[in-house]
Amino acid sequence: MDRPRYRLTVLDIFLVAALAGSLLFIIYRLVFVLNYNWNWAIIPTYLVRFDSESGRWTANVLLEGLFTTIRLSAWGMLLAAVLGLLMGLARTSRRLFFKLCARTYVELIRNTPPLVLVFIFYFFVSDQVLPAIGAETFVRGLSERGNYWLHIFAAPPELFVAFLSGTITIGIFQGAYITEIVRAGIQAIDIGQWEASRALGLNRLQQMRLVILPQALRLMLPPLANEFINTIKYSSIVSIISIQELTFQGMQVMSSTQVTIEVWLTITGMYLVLCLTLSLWVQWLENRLNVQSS
Amino acid sequence: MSADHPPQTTGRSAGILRSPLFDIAQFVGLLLFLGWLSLRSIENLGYHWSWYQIPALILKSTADGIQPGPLLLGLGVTIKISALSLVFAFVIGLVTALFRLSHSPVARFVARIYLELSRNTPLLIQLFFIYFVIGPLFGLERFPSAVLALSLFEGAYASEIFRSGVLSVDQGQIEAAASLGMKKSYIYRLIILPQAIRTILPPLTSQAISLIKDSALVSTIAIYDLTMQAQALISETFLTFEIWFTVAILYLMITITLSFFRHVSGKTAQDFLTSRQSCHVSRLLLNSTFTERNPWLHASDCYMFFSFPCWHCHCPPKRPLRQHSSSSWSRRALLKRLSKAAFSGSAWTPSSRGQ
Amino acid sequence: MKDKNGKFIGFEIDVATRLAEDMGVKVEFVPTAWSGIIPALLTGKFDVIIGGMGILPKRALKVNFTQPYDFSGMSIVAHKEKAAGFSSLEDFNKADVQVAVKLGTSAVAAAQKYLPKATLRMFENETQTYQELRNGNVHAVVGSAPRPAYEALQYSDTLYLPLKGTFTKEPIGFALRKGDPDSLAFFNSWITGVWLEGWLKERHDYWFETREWADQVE
Repeated sequence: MDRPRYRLTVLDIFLVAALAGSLLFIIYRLVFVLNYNWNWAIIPTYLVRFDSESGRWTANVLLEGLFTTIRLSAWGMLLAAVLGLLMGLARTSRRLFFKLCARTYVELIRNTPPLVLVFIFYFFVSDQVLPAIGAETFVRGLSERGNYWLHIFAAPPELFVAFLSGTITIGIFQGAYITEIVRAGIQAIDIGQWEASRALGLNRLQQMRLVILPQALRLMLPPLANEFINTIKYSSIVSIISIQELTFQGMQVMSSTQVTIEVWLTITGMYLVLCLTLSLWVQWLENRLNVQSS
Repeated sequence: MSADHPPQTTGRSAGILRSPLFDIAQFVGLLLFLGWLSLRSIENLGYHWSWYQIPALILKSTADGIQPGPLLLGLGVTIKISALSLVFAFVIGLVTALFRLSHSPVARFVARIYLELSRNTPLLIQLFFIYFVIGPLFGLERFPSAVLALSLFEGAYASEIFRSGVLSVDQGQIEAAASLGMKKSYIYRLIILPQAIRTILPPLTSQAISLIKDSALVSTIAIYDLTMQAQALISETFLTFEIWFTVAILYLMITITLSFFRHVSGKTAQDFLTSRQSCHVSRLLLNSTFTERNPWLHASDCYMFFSFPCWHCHCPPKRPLRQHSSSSWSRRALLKRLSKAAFSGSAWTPSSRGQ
Repeated sequence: MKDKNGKFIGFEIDVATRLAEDMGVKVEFVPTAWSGIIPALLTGKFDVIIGGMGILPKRALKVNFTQPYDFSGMSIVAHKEKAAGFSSLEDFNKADVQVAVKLGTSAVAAAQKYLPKATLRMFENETQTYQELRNGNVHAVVGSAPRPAYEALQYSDTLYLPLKGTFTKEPIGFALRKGDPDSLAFFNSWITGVWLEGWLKERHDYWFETREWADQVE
């Protein structure tokens, strides 16, 4: 579209008036009705702290929670992407068996509330899967240095198993959505592309790899990046199974300091900054892809 | 197996492998394996199942006859809260989408801010924020806060669906229509909407499903929806897994019904368009000169031009034809030109307007 | 509760740390949402719950409890305007009275027993119940002493204590998985030991009768 022409209309005037009105109302309620005792001083102490042992400033509860959220989402997303790609290919496969498997997976996950899934996964799946792959023994057997890196990339050793089950829960959950993105991406490619590439003598694997997926990926990239933002957002739900991410840590701070509104505002702000940065990046990505294609 | 058919050794095995029954058998095998796995895991947990207590939680028989149990009551609240939020979410979504597509700077700015705020924070946080921070500010009760939080959150997605539906319509068509002198509202109604519906109906239904699922989060502000009832019951009876499974199945029942509807709606929207297009358009487009000389006109464009009895097969229109007279270009005149162009095979471009 | 350095602090933390010291093992705290704490214990996410868990018959069917290491009770704190003039449990035991409690705690059991007619509002988090009360969305909060009294003290302009002291008394014990009588026996002996030593009482008083620890969190 060519650049939109901006015009000031009645709508603008009305909106400005409405905005100003509600802002005034909020300020009025905040100042005269709520009389809340603000205590912003508490926030910085819970963001960073001075570690007397190492003599350095380190991230405190809230910031540590933010990092855990990021790690959790990143690993969860990676798992979901792998799962989603496999399932998406299965979904568009010609074999009925693969279609049935992928379809069942997607429908089951997408039609159950995440909250309920989190509970079921946490106690069932993680309980069977993690001991089977020996996660606990792996973590216990790590050296000091291994622990350090584990902490940087995942979670402190004592919380690692919980972290892993949180990651798997998120991965399985988000995987269903990514499956659909992959499927939609593949199916959005014009049938002529299949026909043409077939006429060129490519087999199905080559068609997929050389012709369809590269094009589909371009379509899939923005929704995939969006899904990453969703992953971050849904990761707040695993606070319920005590993964120490941002929401959980925020609640902890609230319960020990009794400072509530400030902590809510801080957590909201942190999520907002994190997701907004990502979503601006997604928009940039989308624009770039559009420019390249035209 | 009769003697008439000679044995086909190679072809036969391939036949079994290709048969859908084989796939289904494989699938059932996989399900059985997974079932066995979970059975084993339950044994490992040393958990005592007491499924017999569950029916009483769904329906209980009292002196006054059969009454809904706590889980069914919770399901009612879930449906009520989701339905209300759905209506608000669609309204918010539509308004926001129109704001974003409008030329008014303030409307665009407001829509943008709302979208970014809403899409970039978790629903759980929004819910707590609205309930614990905004709620007291505006004197909002528990239930309205929940509906507000849900509809604001889902509204952002709905607006994106509406917007992308509109944008999915090829820009060339809009430009073409605009250059033909069509009014904005007319473009929306005749070109964008019919095509956008196809794109937006399935995701919109998905959004409704999301909403029902996300409504489980209102349990965190102590609204007695299905999830809250489940949690309360678990804290009383400790039937953790039985209750969670029952709840999951109850949710699945609603959402799968909707999911089925999405499937059907997606199909019908597509069928609707293709049948009409194939009827009116394909014959016209057989005239290759027409499409060659008017590359900006796609098959789907023709939908808007030919939503009335076509002069080829005379099939009836699905929507009554309305006269468009506000622009200097009447639609009939446009069609006359188009049909002339189509049948004479002569080039017809918007620039031939003054002729 | 976490202090400013992100370390867990509290009465139970002290108990668990001392216990681990005496056993010669390393203690690991697994913070767990209260509503999922028993399933988490049963599925082996940790070995013992030392978290102020009241000994209730229904819980005892699922897990084994040690002898009590502490006693607690429920008290009630109410909103000054919403519950104006309420002075007995009977005043709260009405259908239009809303009471906030923490999900899955013995406060729920106590409220159901003493206020069967009131509507219970259950929250995942104790903080949320008090925030709910301060916002005037419920009439009262039922919670383990002494938190309700602190709240009434801290927000004396909106909250008050309709009843002095606690209206229930309940034993608090460690919870562990069934089928391990040896650990149970050890914990019981340990509790008897530290109880007679007076250490438990001293720690209890430090955390629940004073506010000396307040500077650790603010």
